[in-house]
Amino acid sequence: MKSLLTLFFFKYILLSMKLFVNGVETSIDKPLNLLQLSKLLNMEADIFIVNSFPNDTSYIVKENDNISFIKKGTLPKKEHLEYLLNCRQGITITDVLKNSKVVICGCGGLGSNVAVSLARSGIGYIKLIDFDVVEPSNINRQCYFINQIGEYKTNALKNIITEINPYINVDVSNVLLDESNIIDEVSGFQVILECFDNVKSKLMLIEKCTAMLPSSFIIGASGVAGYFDTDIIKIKKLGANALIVGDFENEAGENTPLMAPRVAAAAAIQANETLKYLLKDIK
Amino acid sequence: MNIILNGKPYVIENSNNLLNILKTLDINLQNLIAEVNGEIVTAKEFENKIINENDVIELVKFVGGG
Repeated sequence: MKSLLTLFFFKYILLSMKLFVNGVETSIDKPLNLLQLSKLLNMEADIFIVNSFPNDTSYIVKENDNISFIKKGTLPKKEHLEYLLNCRQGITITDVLKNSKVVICGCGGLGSNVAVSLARSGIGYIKLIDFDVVEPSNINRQCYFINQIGEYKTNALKNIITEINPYINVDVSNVLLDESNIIDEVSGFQVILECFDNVKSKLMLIEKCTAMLPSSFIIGASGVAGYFDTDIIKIKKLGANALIVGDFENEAGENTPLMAPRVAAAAAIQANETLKYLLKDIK
Repeated sequence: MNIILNGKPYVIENSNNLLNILKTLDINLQNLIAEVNGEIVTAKEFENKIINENDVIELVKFVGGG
């Protein structure tokens, strides 16, 4: 009886090992290491990633492993690209983020940098809101290029996101947000990012959205100017559903310019808090 | 009366509204949103918000730039 069970066990394992290669379900009928598997599947590779982390070619694959084979300098097949773009994050995180919806209010220094970080993370749906166009004084800290001068920031940023990850759904709205339209424009999103430059707009969004959209999480910023220490940038909780990132004192002004590193640092913290919120249920 | 403001203990006289307390402590009122015991209080509501013994107040100051 025991030997029969052992035989069954081996037969089951050996004949039907299921795994995923570049996001595509595959099965193999004998134990293989990564090099043997890549040869069997006729997939040349010099980077071997197993379950989000690079591994040695001698690694013996296991049931349900997520394997990525990457050949440097070669554009992957279309059916593998989407998976490979986020293969360093692991499938659980990537699936949650792909099904997430965020809205970015203001596409300047904070908003354009937040958008790029979240696009790289593979957030499935991103709405961009800004009324303004790209102009030369934006380029020192915002993600735009000289050849985008004159374009709506929303459209320019959508094009940048699409170059990074063409599988993200991007919606744009070229409006000036105020008390009359804010709730219509931002309701239905898990995370609302307050990325304005103007202090009155910041207060308007935080006051309206915390009061009227209790099921959304709101992440704002205050105090990102200059080139002061980045370790004075803090995160303050505000009520049940908001966080504000910044040093809460360094306002943009004649002697405190807006500079790329500190604005991008605050934006990266806003993006990281977005991921922490969206991924809070993953153990 | 004891209160905690931005993480620090303060002793103030009697029950009072938030606006008067902030004025007494010489705090710049421009572009603030407060949190009292975890609940948001906007600047318009400061005058009607009565502060009681052991209340915990956090002030978030908003400045421009982004």
